[in-house]
Amino acid sequence: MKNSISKRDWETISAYLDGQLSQREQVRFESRLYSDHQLQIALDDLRRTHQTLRDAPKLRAPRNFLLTPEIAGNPVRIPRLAPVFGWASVVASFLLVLVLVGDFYTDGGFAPVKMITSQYNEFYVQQSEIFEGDVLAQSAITEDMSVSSKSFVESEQEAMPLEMRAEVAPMDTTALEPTMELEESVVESQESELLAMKNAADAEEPTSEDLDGIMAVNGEDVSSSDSPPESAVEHSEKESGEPQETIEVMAQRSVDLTKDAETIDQADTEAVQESLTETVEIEEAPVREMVAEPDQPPVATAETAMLADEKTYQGEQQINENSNTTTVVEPMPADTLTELESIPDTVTATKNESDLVLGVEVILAMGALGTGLAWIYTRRRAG
Amino acid sequence: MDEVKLIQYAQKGDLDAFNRLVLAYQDMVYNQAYRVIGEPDAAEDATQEAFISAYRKIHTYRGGSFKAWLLRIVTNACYDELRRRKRRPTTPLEPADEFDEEIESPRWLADTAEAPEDTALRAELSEAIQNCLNELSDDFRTVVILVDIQGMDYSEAADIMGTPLGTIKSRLARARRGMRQCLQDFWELLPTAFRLENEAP
Repeated sequence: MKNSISKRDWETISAYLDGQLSQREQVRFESRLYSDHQLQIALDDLRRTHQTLRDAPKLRAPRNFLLTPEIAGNPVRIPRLAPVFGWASVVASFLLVLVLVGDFYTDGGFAPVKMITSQYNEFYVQQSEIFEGDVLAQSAITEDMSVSSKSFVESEQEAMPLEMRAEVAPMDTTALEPTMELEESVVESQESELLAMKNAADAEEPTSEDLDGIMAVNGEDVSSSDSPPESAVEHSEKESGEPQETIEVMAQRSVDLTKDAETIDQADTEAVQESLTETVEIEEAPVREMVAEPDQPPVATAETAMLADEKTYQGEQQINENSNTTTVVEPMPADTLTELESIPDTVTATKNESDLVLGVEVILAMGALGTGLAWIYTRRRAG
Repeated sequence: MDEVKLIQYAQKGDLDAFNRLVLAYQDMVYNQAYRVIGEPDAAEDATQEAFISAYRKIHTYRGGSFKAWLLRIVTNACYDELRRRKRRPTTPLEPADEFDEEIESPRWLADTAEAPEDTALRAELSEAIQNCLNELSDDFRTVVILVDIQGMDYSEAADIMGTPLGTIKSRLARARRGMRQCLQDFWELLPTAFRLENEAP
């Protein structure tokens, strides 16, 4: 009998005795019971056991277990605030979870830190692109100028007679090569080269000595003559029979060109200076403001780096001005200036918001922990 | 005064109200303690501990079956006693009379309305049941005592023992199987009158 009744069947029989089977389970069991004799015997045995236990003699207490004040002691009272602590800890924990979840799913607590970083990165990248663009433009312009100057010089040299070419100091065109390096040593060498270039340009205009030399080569002694010395043009005309106006015309042309170049340079320089002045005035405004308010916290390192980049950019403009090249400097776009002025305030405000949210989170966490501990303590005291 | 008011007064610190509750439930509590522990002296100590603990924790009673609430306290007190005895096993002493002879039928089992033969039989039955209960493990024994002897339903037993309902069902089935096997031999010794009573559906 024992082998045919499974462990599960014994549990079913026991539950059936106590009326713990569902309607469907009871019907199923009774249908089995009707056909299974061993199941019936098992049911009878279990029913008898159940009844025997229910009929077991009820023992009486050997004595009275009444309590005296000495034995009972003072009953522990739960402090009134214990339920409050319990609920307060639950509410504080819930609020903390809510704030933390909100940080991840909305632009809240930690997001401003990311915003600061992303804004700085975007602005820095933007400024870097502008800076690189200006430098490239500057280098392109410089290169164009050098090429055009070189071509002009070369063309003029070709136009000159061979005798004049020998007298004219070869112009050093290496200074016109565009360079992107802005180190001081390079700048100084550039300046010296540009000065040499200017001197060379001046040297194109034939002086009276040069003319005397030329005349002397042709055998003319002009040093003792009272009459004004023959111009080189006249002399060459006499010699060659061709019109001698070419040399004078060329010399005059070179002088005119030089004067024009100087005029252009001067005009450009003035224009550049004006634009630079405006740029410096606008850009120096935030610096002056920061200096005027020493109580404010120092500007972040990222911002200082941005301003340093701007100053370097201005320094390059100054160098270009000194080099007497016709570099076209475009003033800083207005929107970039606006960004430059507004970014420090935005970053500071965002940083303050993140500090505030972080403080709230810390307070909520401490509150939840404190109230939870207080609740546990009061419950333990209550026993 | 009804039980609810007694409990309320006891919760306010009225010791007399609580003692009235003690008088009403001390037999039930002692019965539980004795069936679980298996020894009268230890059961007596556990009963005293249970009532002291109940008075100190009366404020934790939130309504429902006061009997189930008390049974939970006394069951925990019994488990503490069992653990204490396992750490320091003692030789149980049989109750002795003034002549130092063992008392087979302790006074506290005596029922003046019952015939001596019946009293003896009931004593034997009680001893047989207790012997079979002692062969079960602590958890199985407690379940069968709560459901079959104390009359608790499955959910109350689960709440008292702090175990799931399914665990109560399986443990009860196994405990009843063990008791059935153990009591089969005893049934044969029972008088016919008892056998017929037990065989009633």
